[in-house]
Amino acid sequence: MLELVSKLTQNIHYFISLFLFLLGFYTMLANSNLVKKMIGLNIMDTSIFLFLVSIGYIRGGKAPLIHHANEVIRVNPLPHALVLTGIVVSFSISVFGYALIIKIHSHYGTIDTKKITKTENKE
Amino acid sequence: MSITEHLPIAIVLFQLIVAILLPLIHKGKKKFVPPVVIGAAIINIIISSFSLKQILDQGMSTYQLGGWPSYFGIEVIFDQITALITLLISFIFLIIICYAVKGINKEINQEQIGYYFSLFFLLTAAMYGMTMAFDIFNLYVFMEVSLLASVGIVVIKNTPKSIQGGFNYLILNAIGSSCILLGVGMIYQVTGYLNFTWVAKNIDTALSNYSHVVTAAVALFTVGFSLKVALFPLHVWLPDAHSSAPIPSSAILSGLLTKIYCLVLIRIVYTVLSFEVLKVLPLGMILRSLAAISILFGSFFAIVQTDIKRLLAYSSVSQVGYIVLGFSFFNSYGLKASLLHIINYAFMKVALFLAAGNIIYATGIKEIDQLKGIGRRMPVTFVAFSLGALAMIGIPPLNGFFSKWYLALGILKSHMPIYLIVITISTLLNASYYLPIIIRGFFYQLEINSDEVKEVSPNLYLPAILLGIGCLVLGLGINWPMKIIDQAANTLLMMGG
Repeated sequence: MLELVSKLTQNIHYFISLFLFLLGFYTMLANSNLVKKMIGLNIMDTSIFLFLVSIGYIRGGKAPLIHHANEVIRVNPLPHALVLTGIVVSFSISVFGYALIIKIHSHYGTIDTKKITKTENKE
Repeated sequence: MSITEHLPIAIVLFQLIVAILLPLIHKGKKKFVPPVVIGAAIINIIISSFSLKQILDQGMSTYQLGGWPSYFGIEVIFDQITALITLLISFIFLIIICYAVKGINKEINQEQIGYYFSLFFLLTAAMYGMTMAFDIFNLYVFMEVSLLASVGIVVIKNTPKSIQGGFNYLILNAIGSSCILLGVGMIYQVTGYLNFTWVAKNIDTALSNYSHVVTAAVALFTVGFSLKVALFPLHVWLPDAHSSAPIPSSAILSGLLTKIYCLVLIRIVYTVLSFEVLKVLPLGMILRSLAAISILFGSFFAIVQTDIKRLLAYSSVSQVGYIVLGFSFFNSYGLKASLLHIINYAFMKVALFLAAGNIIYATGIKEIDQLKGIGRRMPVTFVAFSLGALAMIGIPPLNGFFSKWYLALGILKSHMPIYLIVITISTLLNASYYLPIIIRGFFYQLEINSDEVKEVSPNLYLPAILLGIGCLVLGLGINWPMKIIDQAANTLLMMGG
């Protein structure tokens, strides 16, 4: 039992990232407000970044510099580089999404998907 | 290192340079835009045919960006598939561009034409990138580039429908991308590599040590790619986005982009996942059943559509099923059928979309019921449409027949005759929604005022009829592409082991 608890606490970041991923996914599915959907998408992306950062982290590792390369343990820098790219991608998608939401608001006068479908059906 | 070694990545860089220059050219002198885009598309064809020739002469090669070894750095691969699909993209792209320089004026604001073509070139850059990327993270980056560019060319029409469709497209594909990124992270966690070959070398040990993580990664890839290629339950974004986009955008999205995602999926399944993984996980079975459902329901939904562009969009859902069904049998005939269908489908679908676009431009009619007698007024356009539609059904001398032929051989070889029934039913369903359009067009009396309906200008009907004839030529001369596809399929099968 104790072993299980210590295992869980050691890998707590994976559970948090999984929880955030599902939370984001649920937010996207359950809300009809488009801005909330975008926020859900951002939470999902952030959870993946947490996951990527934590797979590169080594307990007690130092920053990956060439100085004294062989003497101490270093964390793996590659996933962090992936996260940087991922942040750029996620940022561009959010910006584009919000721009489209502004357009939708100017066309339909609302950002609620249920109301949008209603107005579409009337036409 | 001679300059020809850099030739294949030059094509991606070239697209990006053109994409940046186009808005500037548009600002400076508007009438330079059409010659520049057509010239750039012709240069694409020259570069890609040179790289095809190079690969056929010298065999496949890899290229390390910046000279880093493949387990650290970025590697791209030029094998027969890359070369063939690159040439296909260049060719179809040239035809769509020739159509778009004339046709797009009728659909979007004049001020935005420079940006429109810029997005087009970004999209092709991403497509070329996806065909040659050889590590999973770069694949993800190119997918995102293609996603943003393709949503751009949908929403640029600025109607409520297209913005709504584009937003759904963006948000659902972003979920797919997120799933793929999480899968990439998991694969990296258990194998320690991102490069395809290095992952493939290490995935067996990873499977025995961390079987749950590998399973989760494969599941995430399956969901992500099913969203991207629009397999049946996850296809909901496709009909809205493709039917509300401007015609050239619909043609390139439906004819090329979703099929490039299929190609990427083929690469991942055959190169990254080893034989062992495919034996343990029921990936083939899942893909086969999704594809079969997609084939049938795509056609069912297509039958009840009244709008011609929506019909074509649902038909994409059904045709993507053929491609996924082909390679998920894991034998050489099925794989060849998939690769052949990617090529054939680009010809057929783009011909259909361009012909439908001509009908909409000339008459403004989108409803299928009102197309009576238009074939006699617009003979060239309607012949192009008929050639595309008959190829879709799979009438023998046309190219669509050969994809179905190889697919049937693949099915028989893996002893699963149930799928034979699926494709037979699907062929009947295809016939039942394409033939009425042809019959209405040619044999019914014209209903609307006949003076208004005229054939469109040659700039618009030539691309469509060229692709229609292309369907026939490809069908009659199927040996030439088949020779390269044979080699390509063998390379893929060798890599996967």
